[in-house]
Amino acid sequence: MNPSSRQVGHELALAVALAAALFVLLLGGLLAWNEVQGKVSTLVNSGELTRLHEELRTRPKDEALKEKIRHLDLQLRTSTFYRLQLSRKGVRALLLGLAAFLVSAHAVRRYRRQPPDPTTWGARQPEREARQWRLARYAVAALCLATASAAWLLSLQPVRLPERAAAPPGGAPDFPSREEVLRNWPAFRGPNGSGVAPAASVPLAWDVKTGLNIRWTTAIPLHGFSSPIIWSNSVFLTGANSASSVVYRLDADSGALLWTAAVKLPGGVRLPTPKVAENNSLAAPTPVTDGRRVYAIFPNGAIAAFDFSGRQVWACNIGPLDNSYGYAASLSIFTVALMVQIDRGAAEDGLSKMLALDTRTGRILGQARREVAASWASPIVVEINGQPQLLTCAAPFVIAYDPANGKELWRNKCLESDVAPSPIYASNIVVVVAPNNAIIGLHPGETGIVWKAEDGVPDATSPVSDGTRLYIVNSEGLLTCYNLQTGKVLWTHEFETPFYASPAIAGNVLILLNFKGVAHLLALGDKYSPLGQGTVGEVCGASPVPLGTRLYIRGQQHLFCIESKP
Amino acid sequence: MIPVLAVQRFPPPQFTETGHLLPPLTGPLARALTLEYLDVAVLLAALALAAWLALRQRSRNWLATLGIFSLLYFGFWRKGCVCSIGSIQNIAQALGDPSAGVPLTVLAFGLLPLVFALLFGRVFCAAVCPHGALQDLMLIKPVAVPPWLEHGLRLLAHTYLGLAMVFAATGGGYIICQYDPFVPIFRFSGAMTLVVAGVALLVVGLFIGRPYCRFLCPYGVLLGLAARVSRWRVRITPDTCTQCRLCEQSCPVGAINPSTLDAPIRDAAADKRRLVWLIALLLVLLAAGLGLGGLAGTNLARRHRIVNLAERVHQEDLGLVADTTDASAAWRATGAPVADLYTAAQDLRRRYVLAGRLCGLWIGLVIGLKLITLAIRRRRKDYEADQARCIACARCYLYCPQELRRLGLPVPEAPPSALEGVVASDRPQAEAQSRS
Repeated sequence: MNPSSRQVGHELALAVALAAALFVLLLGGLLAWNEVQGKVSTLVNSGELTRLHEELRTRPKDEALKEKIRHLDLQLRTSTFYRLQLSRKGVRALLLGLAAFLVSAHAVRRYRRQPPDPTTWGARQPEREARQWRLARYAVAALCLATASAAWLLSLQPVRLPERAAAPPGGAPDFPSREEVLRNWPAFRGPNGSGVAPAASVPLAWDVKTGLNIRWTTAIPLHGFSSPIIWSNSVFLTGANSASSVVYRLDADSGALLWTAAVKLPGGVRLPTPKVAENNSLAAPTPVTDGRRVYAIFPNGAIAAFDFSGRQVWACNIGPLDNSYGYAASLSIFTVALMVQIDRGAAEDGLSKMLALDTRTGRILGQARREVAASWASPIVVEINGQPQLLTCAAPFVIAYDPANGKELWRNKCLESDVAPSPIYASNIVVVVAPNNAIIGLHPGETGIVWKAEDGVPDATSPVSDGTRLYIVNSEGLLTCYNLQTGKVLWTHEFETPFYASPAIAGNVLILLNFKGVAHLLALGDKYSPLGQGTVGEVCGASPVPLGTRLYIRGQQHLFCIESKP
Repeated sequence: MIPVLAVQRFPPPQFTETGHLLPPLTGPLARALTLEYLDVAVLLAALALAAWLALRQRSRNWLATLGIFSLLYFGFWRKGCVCSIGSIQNIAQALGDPSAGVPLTVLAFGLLPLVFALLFGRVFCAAVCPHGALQDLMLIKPVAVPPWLEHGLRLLAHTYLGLAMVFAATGGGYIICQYDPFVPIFRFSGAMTLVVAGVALLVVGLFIGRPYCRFLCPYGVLLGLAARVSRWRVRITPDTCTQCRLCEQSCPVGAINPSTLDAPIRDAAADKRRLVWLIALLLVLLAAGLGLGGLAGTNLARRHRIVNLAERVHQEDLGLVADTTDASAAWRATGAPVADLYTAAQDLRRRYVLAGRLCGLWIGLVIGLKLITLAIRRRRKDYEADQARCIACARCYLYCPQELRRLGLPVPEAPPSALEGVVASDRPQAEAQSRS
C-alpha cells in the first residue's frame, strides 16, 4: 500500500471510529436514560396506580374511579411497551454502532502499527523486576488476608437453627405420666383445669396477722395475677414489670426463693410493654410445667421455657398478643405440645389461632386458625370418653381440638361478648360462660346446649364443680350453686366483696377467695354451709391452689403457704 | 415437576370489559437433541480448528475469524448456553449429589476444552469461547498490567472457582451462570447490574486484554492447570530464540516469560531458607483455609433455598422479623412439619461446612503455592509463553523475526540482543547458567 492511500485509509478509519464512538456513547446514554425512566414509571411499580387501587377498595362501586384506573393502566401499558420496544431496537442499533467502531478502531490501529523497537525500551532492569516479584508476593498476601477476613466475617452471627431434639437424660420420657400430673398442680386450676383437688385437705382457718396455720410467707418482687403452680416440692410463679418478665421458683416446704429467671429473647430483642387494663397485670397468664421444664408466657408476646435449675432452654416472641384488656390466657400442655391460645381482634379479622409449640425446642408443631374474637379464657385438656380433647372458649364458639394433631373435633356456637372465664368439664357436661349473659351447659360433640342459666353470671372467674353441683361466684360477690346436669339454681349467697380469683375445691371444701384476700370455706352440698374463713391481708386476684395438706395463695406482694400445724 | 420461582412480568389488565384475552401461558420447548449434538460437533470442530490454527498454521487472522464465528454461534445464537464455563457446575453438582445427572452434551462442553488443553494448551480460550472472543474484539489499545497486580488479581479466579464449586456441589445454585457478565449481552436482556458489569468489563477490555478471562474466569483456572502439562504448546518462535526482545511487550494478557539470562545471580542459601519458610507457611495456610472455610460454610449455606427458608421461618417464629416472605408463606401453607425443615437445613449446613473446608483448603493451597512460585526463579534461556496463562491467541508470533522469516515477511532491522543489558563480566556466567 502506498503512503498516500495508507494516509487516506487511516483518516477514513479514524473518522468512522470517532463517529461510531460518538454514536455508541449517545445511544448508550439514551438507552440508559430510557431504562432508568422505565424503572421509575413502569407499570409494575406505579405509585399512582397502587394508590387508586387502594382507593377502589374503599369505594368499589365508584365508576369514575374505575375509569380513571383504566385510563392510567392503558397509559402506563402504552408507555411501558413503547419503552421496551425502543430499548430492543436501540440495543441492536447500539451493537451495529459498536461493530462499526471496533472494525474502524482496529483498522486505525493496524494503520498506526509500528514494528516494536526494543532500543527505545532501554535495557532490562533486573532490580526493578525483582521488586515487581516482591510486590507480587505482597499483593498475594493482601488477597490472602482479604479472603481470610471475608471468611471470618461470614462466620459471624449465623442464624442459629434449633438442633434436633436431644434425647431426654437417662432415657426419661419427654412428658410426664398421667399419674405424675395428677399428683401435682401443673397448670392454671390444676391437672384438668377444673380447679379441683379431690384428695386435698386444707385448714379451715388461718390468719397472717397471728400466724395461724401459716406455714410460710415469701415476698414476691414482681407483681402478677398469675396463679402459682406446683410440681413436687417446687412452686413456680411469674411476675413482670415494664423492664422485665420473670419466673420464680420457690421451695414448697420452706418458701425459700430458689431462683429468679428473666426471659431473654434471642438477639437481645426487647419487646414493647403492652397496654393492659387497670385490673389486669403484665403477668396474668399462669405458667405450666411438665416436670421437666416450666413454661411461661407474658402479654408482651414473650414465651420461654426454663429447666428446673433456672436455665432458659428456649425463648421466642410469638406476639403480638395485643387485645383490649391485656393477654391473659394461660398455657396448657399435652405430651410434648405446649398449647397457646391466641385470640385477637374480631372474629372476622382472622387474627386468632391456636399454636402448639414443641416443649423441648419451642418450635411450632402446628397451628390452627380460629374464626373467633379476642378472648381471655384458658384452654384446658380433658379426657372425654377416653379421648383427650383440648377445649377452648371464645365468642362465638366453644371449639374442641384433638391435642395430638390439632384437628378440630367439634364446635358449638353458643358464646358471645368478651369471654374470660375458662371452661370446665365434669360428669359429661362442658360448662362455659358467656360473660354478663349466661352460663351454659352442653354435651361435648353436640351443637345444641343442655341448659342455659342467667343467675350470677361472672365476667372473669371460672366455675368449679364437684361432679353433681356447679359453683360460680361473680365479681359482684354473688355465689350461685347450680345442679350441674339441669342448670337449676340450688342456692345462692351474696358476699359483699368482689371476687376475681376462680374458686377451687379441696376434698369436700369449696374455697372462695375474694379480692381483699379473705377466703371463705364452704361445705359442698345443696345448701350454703360455711366451714371457716382465712385471711392473708392483701389483695388477691390469683386463684388459690390446694394440694395435699397445703393451700397456696398469691397476694399482691406475697405468696402464702397455708397448712395446719401439728 | 420442577418447581420454579416466577411471577408475571406485568400485571394483567384489571378489567375484563375491554375484552382483552390473556394469552395462555407457554413454556419454551426443549431444544431438540440433534441440535444439542450439533452444538457439541461445532464445539469439537472449533476446538480442532483452533488447535490447528494456533499451533500449526500460527495464524492470528484466522484465529480472530474463528473467534468471531464462536461469538456469533455460541454467544449470540446459542445465547451463551450451554457454555463450557458454566458446565463445570453441572459436573460439580453431579459429584456432590449422586441423584443429579449431567446431560452428555453438558459433559462434553465441560470436558472437551479440558482435553484439548491437556493436548494443545488453551486453544478453547484462543477462539472458541464467546466470552474471550468478545473481549478480544474490544481490545483496541493494550496496556500492560504491572506483574505484581497481575499475580494478585489472578487469584480472584481461583477463589471464584472454589466458591462456585461449593455452591454447585451443595445445591446452592450456579453462581457462574447467575453472575455471568456477558450472557445478558448475548441475550439482549438481563439484570441491570449484570449489564452494567458486562459493559464495564468491555470498557476496561478496550485497554486491558481479556480482564474477565484473566482475573475472574473459573474455567480458565482449570484450563490453565491442564495446559501446564500440555503435550503440544505455543512456542513464540518457530526456530531458535535470538533474545531480540521484540515479543517482550506483544502479549496483551501478560503471558510471556522473559529470558532470565540477564537476571542477577541469586543467593542460593537465602532462596533455600525462604523456600523452607514458604513451605511451612503453606501448611499454615492449609490449616487456616480448613478452619475458616468450615466457619464460613454455615453462612454460605444461606444461598441454599432450604436453609434460607428455614432461617426465615425460624426468625419469623422468634418474632425477629415482622412479616413473611412469599417462600415462607407458601411453605407454611403446605402444613409441613417445621422439624423436618430444620432437620433438612441442619443437614445441608453440615454439607456446606464440609464443602467450605474443602474450598478453604483449595484457596490456602493456591495462595501458598503462588507464594512459593513467586519466590522461586526458574532459569529460562528463551522468551517463552507461560503454559498456564497463554491463551494461544497467536498475537506474539508476528513479533518474532524468525516467524517473519518463515513467512517471507520483512524483518525489522538489527534487533538488539537481550544480553546487551548485562555487564560484560557477567555474560559468560549467565550463558553458562542458561546452558545448565
